[in-house]
Amino acid sequence: MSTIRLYLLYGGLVLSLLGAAEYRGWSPLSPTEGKTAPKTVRDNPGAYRPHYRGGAYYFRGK
Amino acid sequence: MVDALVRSLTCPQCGATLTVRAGDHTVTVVCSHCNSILDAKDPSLKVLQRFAAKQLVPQYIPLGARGRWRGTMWEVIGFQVRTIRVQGIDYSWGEYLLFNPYEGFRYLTQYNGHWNDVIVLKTVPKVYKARATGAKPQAVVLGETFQHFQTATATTTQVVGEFPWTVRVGDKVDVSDYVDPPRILSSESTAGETTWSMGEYVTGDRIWQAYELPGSPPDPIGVYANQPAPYPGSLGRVWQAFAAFLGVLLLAAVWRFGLSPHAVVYEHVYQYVPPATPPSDSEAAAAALVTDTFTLNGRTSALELTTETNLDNSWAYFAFALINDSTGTTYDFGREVAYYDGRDVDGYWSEGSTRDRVLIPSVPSGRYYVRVQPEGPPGGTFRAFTYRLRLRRDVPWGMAYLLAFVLLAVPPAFVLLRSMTFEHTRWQESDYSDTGDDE
Repeated sequence: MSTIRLYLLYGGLVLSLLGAAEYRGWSPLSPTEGKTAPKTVRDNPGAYRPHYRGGAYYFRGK
Repeated sequence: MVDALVRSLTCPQCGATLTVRAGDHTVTVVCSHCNSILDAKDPSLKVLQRFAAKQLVPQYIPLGARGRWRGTMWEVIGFQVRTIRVQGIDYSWGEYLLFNPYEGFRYLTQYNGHWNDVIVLKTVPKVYKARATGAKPQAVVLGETFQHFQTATATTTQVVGEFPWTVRVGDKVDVSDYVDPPRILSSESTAGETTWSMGEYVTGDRIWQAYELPGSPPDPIGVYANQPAPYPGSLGRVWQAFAAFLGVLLLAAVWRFGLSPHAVVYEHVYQYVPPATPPSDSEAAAAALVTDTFTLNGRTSALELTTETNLDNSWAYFAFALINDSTGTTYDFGREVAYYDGRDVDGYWSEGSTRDRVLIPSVPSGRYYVRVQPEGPPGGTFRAFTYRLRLRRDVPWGMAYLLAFVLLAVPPAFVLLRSMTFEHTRWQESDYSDTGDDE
C-alpha cells in the first residue's frame, strides 16, 4: 500500500476516533461508577460513603 | 543471440583459450589466466599490457551470462573496475559491459550494492555553470535537468573479458556526474573526447532475476547519488492530506468550541467553614451537601464540572458523587484545588489555581444531583472559603483535539525528516557535502 493511502487511512481513523470521543463524551477522568446510592442520600448526605476516596491532606501547604 | 559471432582464441602469453563473444566489435580481449590485455584486431594477438590482478570489487555476474533485460537478451562480455580517490580514500565500482548484436552495448554498474543501468547517449547535454553562490552546475538533456553531483578522476583498476575499445589498467578519465534521481548523467572526458551516458537506478533483485543469479544481491550500503528517495512523490501529497485533515479538525473545533450550546445545567455558590481542628471521618462527612436535581438531556455525553473558589494560600479537597436520582448510579471522584502566592527576593510568585475543571465522561441522560463533601485546612471561620459549582452538558474535550493534531502531524513529520535525512546523506557523498572534502 502506498504511503499516501496508508496516511489517508490513518488520518481517517484518527478523525473517526476523535468523532467517537466527542460523540460519546470520552475524557481521561475515570470516576468510580457504582449503583449503590440509596434514596436517602438526598436527606442525609453525610451518611453516603463514596466509592472513591482520594482523601484530604491536613497540615500541609506552604 | 547470434552465436556465430562467438570465436575462440589462444592467449599467446599463456596458451589459455579465450572466448570472444562480440565478434568484430571486440577491440581488446583480456586473458584472465595471465592478466594480459591483447589486441583482438591483431592476428597474432599482440600483448598490449600485463597487469597485476587485484580483486577490488567482486564480480557478481559471470562473463557469458545472458539475461533478458528490458525485453532484450543481453550478454555480459566484459567487466572492469574503476576507482576514484577522494581525501586519500579509494572508492571503486564495477562496470559490466553487456552486448547484443542488434542493440549494441550497455552497462550495468554496481557500487556498494547500488546498481545502475547505463546507456551511452547520442545527444550531447547542455551544461550550465552555477549561477549563484551555493548553486550547483546543471546539465540539461531531453528536457530533463540534472544537478551536478561530483567530478573526479577515475582510474581503470581491473579488467576482464572483452571490450570494444582499447582498454588498459591505469587508464584515467575525468568523470562528472549529474543527478536527477532515479537517473544519473555522466560525462567521461579524456584529451579531446567526451562521452555522455545516462544511467537509471535499478535494484539488485531485478539484476538477479534477469540473470538468474544464485543467492540474493548484496544489501545496498548508504545512499547512492541517484538512489530514489523513500516515499517517492509522497512527501507533497502527504502534506496536502495533512492540510486537509487539519482543515477538518479546525472546522470541528470551531463547531464544537464555538457554536455548540454547552448549556449550563446547574450552578450554585456554597460556603465551607472548616472545623477548628482536623475532623474525624464522620465529622468530615457531616459537612457533605447535595445540590438540587437537574436534568441532562440528549445523547450520552460528557458533563463538565467547574469548581471556582476564593482560596488564597490555601487548599480545598472535594469528594464529588454525581448520582442519578432515578437509578442510583453514582460517579465518584475527588478534586483538589490549591492556590498559593507571595513575594520573595525574586519578586511575585504564585502556583496552583483557584479553579478546577473536569469532564465526567459518558454520562447518559436523566435526572441527577451531586453530593459534595468539601474539606480544607482546619481553622474555623478564619479558613472559610466559598466555591461555585457549575455543570455544563456536552462540553468538548480540548485535549482530544490537541492529541488528534499531534497524531495527524507525526506521519508527515516523519516522512519529511526521513526524506531530509536521506537527501542529506546523499549529498554528503558529493562535492557539496558540508564536511568540505574539496580536493
